[in-house]
Amino acid sequence: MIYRRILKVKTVGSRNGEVPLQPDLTDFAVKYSGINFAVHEYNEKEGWCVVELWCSDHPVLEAKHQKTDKDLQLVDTEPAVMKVLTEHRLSPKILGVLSTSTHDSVDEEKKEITVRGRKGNFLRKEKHTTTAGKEQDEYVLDEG
Amino acid sequence: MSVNIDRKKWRATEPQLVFSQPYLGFAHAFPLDTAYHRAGECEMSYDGEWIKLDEKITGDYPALGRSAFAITYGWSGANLRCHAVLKAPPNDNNIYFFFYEPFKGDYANYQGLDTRDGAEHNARSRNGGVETKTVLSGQDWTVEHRFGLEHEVNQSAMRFYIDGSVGATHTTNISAEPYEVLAGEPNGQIRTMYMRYPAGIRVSRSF
Repeated sequence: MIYRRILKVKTVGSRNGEVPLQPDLTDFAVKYSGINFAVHEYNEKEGWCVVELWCSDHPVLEAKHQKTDKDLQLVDTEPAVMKVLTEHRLSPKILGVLSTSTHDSVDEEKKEITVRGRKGNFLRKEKHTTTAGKEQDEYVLDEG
Repeated sequence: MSVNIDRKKWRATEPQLVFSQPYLGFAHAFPLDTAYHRAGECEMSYDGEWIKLDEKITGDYPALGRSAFAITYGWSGANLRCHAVLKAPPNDNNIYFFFYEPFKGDYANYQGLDTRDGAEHNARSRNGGVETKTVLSGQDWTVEHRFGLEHEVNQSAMRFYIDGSVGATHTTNISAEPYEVLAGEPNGQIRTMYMRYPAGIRVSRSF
């Protein structure tokens, strides 16, 4: 399952400055490994942005990257977080997608897939073309 | 295939650092002035401002690259940060705008910004074929934007920049260096891609 959370966060840096404009979430990747985010809006003048976090607890993910809503809520305690929002005009219906083109085994009837020894369900199979023009099967594991 | 670009001019007009967090080390500029392509119906030209990559047949997968070698930087403990100014008029559907791959076509380990899935604008990270994709809202890539990518050498994060700001950050499915830096692949379509030159690509290593 995909979990999402929208936060209004203070920013640091600037578009033309030495440090790129970004949410002021120091060591985000270290502290919140497994959580990804998009920035929907910046207000450079007032120094804030709207960030939407997402994560998944899909069993095909490495164990350390399987996160839930509780893990997202931990980000609320960051000093730069100004407010938790319930919605944003640019929040897409689907924000995050996990998929795979590799697998150890797949059962298309049961919609089960095993990737690097980790077993889970997939939602559907799609045909994708790689950057070399090769068509391959892409199994969508989780989205939301 | 390459175009005749004055390298001295490139060096002289090198842009100000866009991602110039404090450097203790060094930064280099590498022009993406070579097109990778497998068929002959792809033309590249330069009008003094933009490199134009003109794909004339379907089913070809050219891209602008460095024509040299994938960049290794882990020895220095550095991140790989690059940017390029690109546009894709008159529509921006189904294009790999700016991306890293260990070599051209190693899609299993792709990290980049693209619109491969139709009109959707995406930040995408792949590690051994497993993918994390974040959909970016409110985007229009038919007009020029400065796209940036930053890969944490320890594979802890991939940051995606648009016009000098973070558009997305991934912490899952980050593949390992080395990377080739690539831009403007039209994903098998007949179309033209533009990359601003010389104020385009910059490869920087920071500690």
